[in-house]
Amino acid sequence: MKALATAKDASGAGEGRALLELRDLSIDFETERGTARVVDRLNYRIGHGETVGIVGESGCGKSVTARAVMGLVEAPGRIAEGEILYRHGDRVIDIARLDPKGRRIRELRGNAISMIFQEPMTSLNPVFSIGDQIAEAVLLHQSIGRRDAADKAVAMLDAVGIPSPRERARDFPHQLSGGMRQRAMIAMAMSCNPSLLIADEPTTALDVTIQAQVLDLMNKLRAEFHAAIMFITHDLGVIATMADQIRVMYLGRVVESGPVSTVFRQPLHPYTQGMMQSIPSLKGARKRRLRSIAGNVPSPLEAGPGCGFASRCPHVMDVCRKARPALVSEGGVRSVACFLHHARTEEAPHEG
Amino acid sequence: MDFLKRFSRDRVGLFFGIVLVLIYLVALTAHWITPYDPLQTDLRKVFQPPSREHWLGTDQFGRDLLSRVILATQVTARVTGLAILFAVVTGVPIGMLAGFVGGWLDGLVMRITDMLLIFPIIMLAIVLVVIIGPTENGVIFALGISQMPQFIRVARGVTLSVKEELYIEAAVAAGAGRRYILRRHVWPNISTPIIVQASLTLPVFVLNASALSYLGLGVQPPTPEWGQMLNESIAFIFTAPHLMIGPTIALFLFTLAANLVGDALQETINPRLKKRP
Repeated sequence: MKALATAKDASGAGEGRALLELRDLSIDFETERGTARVVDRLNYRIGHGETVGIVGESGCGKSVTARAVMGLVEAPGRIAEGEILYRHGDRVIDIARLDPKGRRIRELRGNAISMIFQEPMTSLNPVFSIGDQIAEAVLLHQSIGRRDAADKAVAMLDAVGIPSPRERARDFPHQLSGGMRQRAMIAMAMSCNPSLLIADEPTTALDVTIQAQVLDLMNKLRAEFHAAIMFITHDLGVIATMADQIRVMYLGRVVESGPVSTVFRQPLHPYTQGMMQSIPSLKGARKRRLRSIAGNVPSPLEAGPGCGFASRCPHVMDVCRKARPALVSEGGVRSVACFLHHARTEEAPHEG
Repeated sequence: MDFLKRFSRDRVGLFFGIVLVLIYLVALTAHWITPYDPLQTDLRKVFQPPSREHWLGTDQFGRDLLSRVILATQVTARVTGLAILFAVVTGVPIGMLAGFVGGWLDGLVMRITDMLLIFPIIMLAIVLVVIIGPTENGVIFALGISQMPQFIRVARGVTLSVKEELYIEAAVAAGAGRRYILRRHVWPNISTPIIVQASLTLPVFVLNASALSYLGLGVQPPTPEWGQMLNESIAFIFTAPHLMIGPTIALFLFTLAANLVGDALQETINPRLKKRP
């Protein structure tokens, strides 16, 4: 019936009870020139305590997927079909069906699922001290006193490695550096012990040394709080240090997925290969020009029947322009959506 | 403290700030500092020119003019203050809601305020006072309604820009509801421009309250009001010109002080002219 069961377990992750499972998730954006499908029947799982890195270039649908998990898809976008199954205690909640302004989704946001953003400079309200802001976040979800919440805020600032947290809690955002602010954001996100943390390019706006510190911190907190992390980035180096699993997205679909080490050692999809080759290497000849992937990402409005990468793919075949390859398991733990690797497993044709 | 320091750097603003404070002190203590009962008539002492007993002289009923100007100060301060409060309390929530919700509600509110803004403030106030009746509450309501659109626009404008801030999205992602966001995130950002707008509205209200009472649509006699006192003095402009000295000076000072303090305040705290502390 639906887009084949092939992709279902190919995502490798958590056997049995996944924390988060996307099933055939599609997100449409209504534009003046028609409906753009920016996320196209996405399937993957994130297990408890697992870090899944989601890579892809701008506009591939990675951020909008994260927003969908938070129930934050706003007009003109909408969830066209599919399920976002989140395991909350013993219950499984389909976030795609919750009212995005309702009470039930608000109970999840910030509490069970929290998010940190790309821009630490503007994600904090300039008129409140950071201690107050963290305490507010705690008070939204826990019925404790103001003083306890303030103490909790200080404890969280301490946990994210901010020196003399009691004094810093009284500081306003503009008094902190970018790295400190991102730490404060992380403190706020972790303050209610979420089981899933969505990190939408959390280190992109930071310089490299601070970036490394923040990544270290997230790795430390992950172990401490047992939270799963959905790590969105376009930086493969960050994925390598952070993630267990990787999902490579292109034009709203996962084109390759698997454990990070496997995928990095031997990328199967031409897009993943292209991305790996465009990273400067410390070894080998220096004079060689860095390779890039030719062309641009086609507009989702102009999606033809074929593989989305066909127009840029160095190994393109006739079939690639006519049919869309399904995400098929490749040797158990990993999977790839490319005709080079599985002769003719086409996706069921769909209207779009 | 930082605010006071910056404000006092503006000498004119500081001077008239002190004048304004003195005016309000007079208004607050009016009942104790009036040398005579401002309503007590004394037909043996009509039309007395300024003298040591009666600094501003007496009027056609022998009432002490200084006492009447002082009581009128209180009336004006009360009427204009309450009118501003009314405009803020009704206008700001409407503006915040319109800006935050957007869509048809925003369109509707904006068209209605546009319609109200077509009328000069005094026209609108006259019509409203005539409908409600020329009482103190009528004047407060009329002035408040006539300037409400300004507060709606300011509140809406700031809400529109704050709404797009990432920290609002972060708050939504933290599980905050709409009411919470308006109260905790939008309101603190809005208060500064509202204070500026209120301080700029004060002189407008002082003038218009007097204009209304000059036209007989304000506070009714025997309660004194500057406009009404000026109107009464016209009949005696040649026989007793001193009748208009008190109310004129008072009106002039209050309006000038309120205007200049409003400007100074705006320059000191307007977030658009200066970065937030």
